[in-house]
Amino acid sequence: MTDLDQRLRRLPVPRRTFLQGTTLVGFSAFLAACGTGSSPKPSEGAITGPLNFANWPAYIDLTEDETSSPTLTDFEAKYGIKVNYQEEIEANEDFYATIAPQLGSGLDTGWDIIVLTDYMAARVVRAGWIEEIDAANVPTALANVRDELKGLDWDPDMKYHFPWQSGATGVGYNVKSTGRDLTKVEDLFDPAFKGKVTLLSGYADTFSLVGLMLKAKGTISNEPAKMTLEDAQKVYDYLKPFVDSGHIRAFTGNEYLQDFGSGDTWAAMVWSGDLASSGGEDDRFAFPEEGSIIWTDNMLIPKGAKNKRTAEAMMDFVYDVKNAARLAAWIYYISPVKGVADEIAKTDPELAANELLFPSAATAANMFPQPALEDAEDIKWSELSANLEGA
Amino acid sequence: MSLFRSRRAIPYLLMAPGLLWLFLFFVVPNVQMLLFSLSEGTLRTGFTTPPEVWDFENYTGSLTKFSANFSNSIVFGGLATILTFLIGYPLAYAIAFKGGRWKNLLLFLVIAPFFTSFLIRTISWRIILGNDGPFLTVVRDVLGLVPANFSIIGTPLAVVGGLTYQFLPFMVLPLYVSIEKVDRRLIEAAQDLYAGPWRRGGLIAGAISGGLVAIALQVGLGYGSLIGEDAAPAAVLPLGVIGAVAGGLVGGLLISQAFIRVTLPLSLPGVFAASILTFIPAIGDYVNAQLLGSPKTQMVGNVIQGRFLDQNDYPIAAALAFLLMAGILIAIALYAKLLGTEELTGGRA
Amino acid sequence: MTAASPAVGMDGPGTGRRLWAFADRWLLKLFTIGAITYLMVPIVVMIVFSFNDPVGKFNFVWAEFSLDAWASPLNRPGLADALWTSIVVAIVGTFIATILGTLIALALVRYSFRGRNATNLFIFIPMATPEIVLGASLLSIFVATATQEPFKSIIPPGIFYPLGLPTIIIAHVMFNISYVVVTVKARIQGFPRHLEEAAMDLGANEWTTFWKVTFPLIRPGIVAAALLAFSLSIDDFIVTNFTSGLVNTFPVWIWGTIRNNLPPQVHVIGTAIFLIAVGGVAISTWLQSRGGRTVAIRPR
Repeated sequence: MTDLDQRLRRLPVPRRTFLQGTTLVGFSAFLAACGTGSSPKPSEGAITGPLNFANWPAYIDLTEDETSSPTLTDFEAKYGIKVNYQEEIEANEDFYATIAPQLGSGLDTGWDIIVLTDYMAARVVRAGWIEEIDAANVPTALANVRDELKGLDWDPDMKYHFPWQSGATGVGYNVKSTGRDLTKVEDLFDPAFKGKVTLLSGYADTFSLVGLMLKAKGTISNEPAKMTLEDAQKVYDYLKPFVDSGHIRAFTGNEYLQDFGSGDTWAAMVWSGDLASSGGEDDRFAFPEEGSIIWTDNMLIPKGAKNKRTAEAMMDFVYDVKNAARLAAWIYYISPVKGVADEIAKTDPELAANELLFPSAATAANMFPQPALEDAEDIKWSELSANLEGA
Repeated sequence: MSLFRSRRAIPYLLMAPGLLWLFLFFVVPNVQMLLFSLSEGTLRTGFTTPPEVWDFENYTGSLTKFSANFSNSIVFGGLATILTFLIGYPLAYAIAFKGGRWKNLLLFLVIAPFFTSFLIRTISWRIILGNDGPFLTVVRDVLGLVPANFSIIGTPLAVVGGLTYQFLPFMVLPLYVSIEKVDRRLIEAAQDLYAGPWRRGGLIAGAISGGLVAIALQVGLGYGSLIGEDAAPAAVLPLGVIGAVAGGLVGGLLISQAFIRVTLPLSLPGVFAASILTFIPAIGDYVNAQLLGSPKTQMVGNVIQGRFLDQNDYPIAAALAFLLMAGILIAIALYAKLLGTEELTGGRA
Repeated sequence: MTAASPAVGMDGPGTGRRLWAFADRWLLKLFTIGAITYLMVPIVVMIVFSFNDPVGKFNFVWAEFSLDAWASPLNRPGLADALWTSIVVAIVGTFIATILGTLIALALVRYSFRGRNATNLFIFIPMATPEIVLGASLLSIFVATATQEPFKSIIPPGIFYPLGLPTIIIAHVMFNISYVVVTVKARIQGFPRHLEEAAMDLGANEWTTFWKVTFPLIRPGIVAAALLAFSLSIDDFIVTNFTSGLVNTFPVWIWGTIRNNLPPQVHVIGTAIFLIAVGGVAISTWLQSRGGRTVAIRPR
């Protein structure tokens, strides 16, 4: 991946010039796409505001005194509109439940940009609840989005979404508690850790990662995104005895961070960004040998959004390499923008060398996306994971 | 006798604004939910609602499928209510009768935990009760009172403890308002009439209730639990004996006849209100089981939450919610009967 | 049930009497101190951790003492707005719910009328309804007011939809009414009617009687109910999450923030709210005791 970055790397240019450059590239691409005689304006619709942006908490850069976000401030200055940025999304399912009735009835949710994880993004795109992005308005984003993030079956051509940040799901552990380094998913089932292991709630992470382990053992043959219901059932059958015996203490969100510190959890299935920023000196993250899961939170424009053009401008804005580097250096997840590692290396080589933010080519090759199931399948998988979790 | 009885419309006028509010924002939305509970489909696939289908299977199926969660709710909610009562009654009594000018401050301290947000409280408890936390360090590592592999997070003990803490204010406030209004002249008169502690009665009643509470706690906490494997069932008996002795001592020595004959009966409306205010939200809670429990300690609330949010299976979720509501209303009716008077459910005094 | 009340009696012969004196003076006091301590434990931890300078983004493990978070308590985007929304919602919601609930409680205890028993039971139903059901069903009704006839043409937009401050307050009042009714009822029951009758005999009209006699007598119940409602409102997450639209409240903000970070500012805000409230109550207590007697409203 770093190689790819190198090849695609642009010469460093001041941000404004750079933006003009890419706008021109996009513009000519637009002209080419539309043939001749198109209006020279990139799109219908003017920049309007305020832009209502719903995102996950701690998912934006902050100034030194933490009172505002440079990215948002710059965007506001550039376009002369306000951004109403709200850290409103704390779980895909919860947020979905608060917007689904409106979208289902054809009402505008009030939001211009929302950020949802792959499987949930797939669900709302398939439901027809997302505005199509005008390619002419997002030339930078189209040019800079990392190649391995393209070609997803629910939106192969980036017509509806652009990734905000990605993260990996792998094995986390407190090395003082475990007394050894963990390298495999299978290490989570070491009898020595009985009662001190947690997995993630929902099927998206747990079934995918355990699926990878069973694939390595030869029990199932599909990678996570291609897993069938029978494969999921095999994962369930494998996990059930460990739940019944109390080996797996709980299915959690990121409570493992606290539990690593208190000695209640020794080893767990975790998200990379948490461990990158946890600060616990004995907390470790491993990209497991069987493979790890990569998931992405995606920017989407809900149907009926009042400031669609501005939302597109925002998507394009955060794909500018400088802006993306500024975001990545604060958020500590994996940036979806090409060339960010090199941009960061200029100011903070140590951060650029952090494998949790910038996985090596070998690690990246061993990362697999989660399944993005159709509704009928999703319900059956959810039933399995709910049974496992006791609720 | 009543001031305004001649005017029949007055009670209706008094209730009108509040009941209208509840009608518009509780009854109307829940009629929709009632229809959902008999429907098929999910939020995503769309619903087939009555009169096209009447899917009573949602109710009967859920009751059997989630019976473990229902019994978790009843056991944990019940134990938490008993524990909050044991802590809450003396506390409310002390604030009401001995609080003096600190009364308001003490009352405020009772509800103060709410001001810190539930999540912060839970995080704090996890720090204190954690495997390496101060509590277990003392009890397990220093004093050796529990086995070396004993931990709290993930056990029924943690869930019941969380519920007890969270709903203590719901117990104390109603108890306080009804104890506080007991006329002290009545107590003084009773002290003259029935001097002395409630010896024999207190001994027996205290021993029985103390023993039962201890056994209930032991059985309830060991129930389906992780610690259950290690803790032998034989432990039930000694704990029951300890509870009975403690209860007998308290009952026989510390409780006066005056209290039994005056204060307690007069505060019964408060006991009724308080235990219901505690039991209802405790039995429907899901956050404690989710954050402090294990897959084996999930309650009905967790199932409802999961069906609503993860699967968008509104029919099953709504059916479970109505089953829970019905169960609670039946329990309230039985409890009102048990405590004796229709007065308790709000009849005239 | 009886096992829980030490030191309730005052007298007893012989050695018993001395034990009594001891129990009466100390046991109950010790128990109260213990119980309050138990309630304060997480708050103490919160206060301690508000002075932490955590390594990393999560304030879970003690690292070193710092005043940084206290120097910039609101330095988180959205935190100040969320806090302000929470305070407004809690105050307005508590005010409305306390009035509506108290009126219902008065009617239920003081009057006998057709439908009273049914109303008594009905009041428990909202409490018995899981919060998620309250939230999800309210949301679908609010959405219906904007999409479905006949609501669509009757109800002007902006009241129920788009969602916002008014819908949060509506929801909070709804779930608080029952708690107020039950708490106030516990006070009104056994209420000495003869005082009111005496006032009426002395020539006071109903209005004066209510404000001069009835209200002061039931005021502790109303205060307790309002406290309960306020605390439920300021800590509510589930129902609020469904009814808040583009607006954030403090609990919603915290529940969200924990996914990616937990700054010590959260502990600072919690501590500040706690200290301001305790300080306020303590000062008013002190002022009252200086001004002579506390407003003791116990029938004697």
